[in-house]
Amino acid sequence: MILIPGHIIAKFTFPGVVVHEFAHMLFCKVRKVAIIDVCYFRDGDPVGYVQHEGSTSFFTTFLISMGPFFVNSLLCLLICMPAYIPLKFFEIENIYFYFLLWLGISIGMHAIPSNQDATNVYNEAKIHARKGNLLAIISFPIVGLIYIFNLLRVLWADVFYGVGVGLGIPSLIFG
Amino acid sequence: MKLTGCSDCKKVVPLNDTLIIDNVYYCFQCVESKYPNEGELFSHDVRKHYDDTVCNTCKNDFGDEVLKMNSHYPICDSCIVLLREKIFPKWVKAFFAVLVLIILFSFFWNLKYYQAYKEYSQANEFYSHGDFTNASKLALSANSKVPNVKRLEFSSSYFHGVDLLYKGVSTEAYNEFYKLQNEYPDDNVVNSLLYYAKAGMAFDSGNYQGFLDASKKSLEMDGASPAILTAIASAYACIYVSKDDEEAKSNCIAYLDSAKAMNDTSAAALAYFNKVEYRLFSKKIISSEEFDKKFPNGWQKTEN
Repeated sequence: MILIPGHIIAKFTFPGVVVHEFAHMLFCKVRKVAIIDVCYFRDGDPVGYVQHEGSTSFFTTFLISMGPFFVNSLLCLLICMPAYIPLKFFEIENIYFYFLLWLGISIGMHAIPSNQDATNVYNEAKIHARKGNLLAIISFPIVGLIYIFNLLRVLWADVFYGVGVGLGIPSLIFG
Repeated sequence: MKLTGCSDCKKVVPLNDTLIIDNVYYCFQCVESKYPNEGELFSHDVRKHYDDTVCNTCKNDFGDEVLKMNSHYPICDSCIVLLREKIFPKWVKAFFAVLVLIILFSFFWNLKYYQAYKEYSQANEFYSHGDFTNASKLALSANSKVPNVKRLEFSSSYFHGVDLLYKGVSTEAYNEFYKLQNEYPDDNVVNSLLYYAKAGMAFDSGNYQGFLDASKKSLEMDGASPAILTAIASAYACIYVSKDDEEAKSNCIAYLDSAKAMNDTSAAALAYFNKVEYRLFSKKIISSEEFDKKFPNGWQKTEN
């Protein structure tokens, strides 16, 4: 297993970072949460961020934090799908199809929320779970999975996720 | 700027320099002296009332002018423009415009591959149900949509050849399989079908021994299948009719029974069994096409 520094991976997969931050921003807009600052991509740590006001609604916090999971995964699938049949089934070699795979998998690799996103959900979930909020209760194992996933990034879990969504789902559909 | 009085020290202070704790206004100084530890505030209802005449971003005082709100925060027009540009800058808009264009372009440009894949899958489905004509049509259509793909070229020729075989057009079928054999010389199925077509050509020319030999060769190449076993039965039926050879009749019945025992209930298989039974019973050798014309709903012993 080759260890590649995260900032190099982020540069190579920059479309995913941009879409990830966009997804946070999008759900802030949808839930009418004030945005204070946004950085879509930069040479630093973190490579991108969205600063926004807090929310008293757990659903809003959950959506904003989990937004990239939905948006990045969907876009990954939509972009990889057109390349799947010609490449896999008809074995047509074309640089455009490989470009689509790079773009789709890059976006899919950044679908999983960061530890900071998970912590935001966890802090709010603690408060709302006491009030019997079902989504808050369900969030605990989700947060746990996010932490585990982020630990496994050193073992390329993000690449496996991107490939799984971009190529695995089409292979389940088309065989 | 709006001012308000602190409930504790009674001083008049800017609204933005106050907090509302349990519905009572306190200035920052009094909050700090009353609650020196931030943790003490957690058990209270703490809110902040923003002054809607002071921009929360640039902190400029707009006098009596009531500003627009960014959620709970007052914001002036110039800060709104700056914030919008920061939230959704032009390069990000361009990035997403390109992304949407790529998705749309890829979808429409690659649609032909998905249509070809669908037709190919349907062709295989038709083939497995013995509908070789529709299988051939769809495979041909898929191949025309995406040319120069070996898998599609193969299925197109293969299904067309099988369709021709079942329609009794053996010479054309032979030509199709001959082309395939040149490309896939080691493919047993193709080689078997080539002999199968040869058998058909021998039948057309009245060479019934040649029909039998080629059919048996086909069996050797690809193993037993209802179609090949019925072809051998058919060849024996022809020898029986032309030479009145009782041994050929027994062989015919044996091969036909073996074919039926394989439980192929496709329309094509049942029609083929029926044709051989007619030949054996009527002692007449007619082509598949003539049979279909004469007995469009199949033949039954009671009809004779």
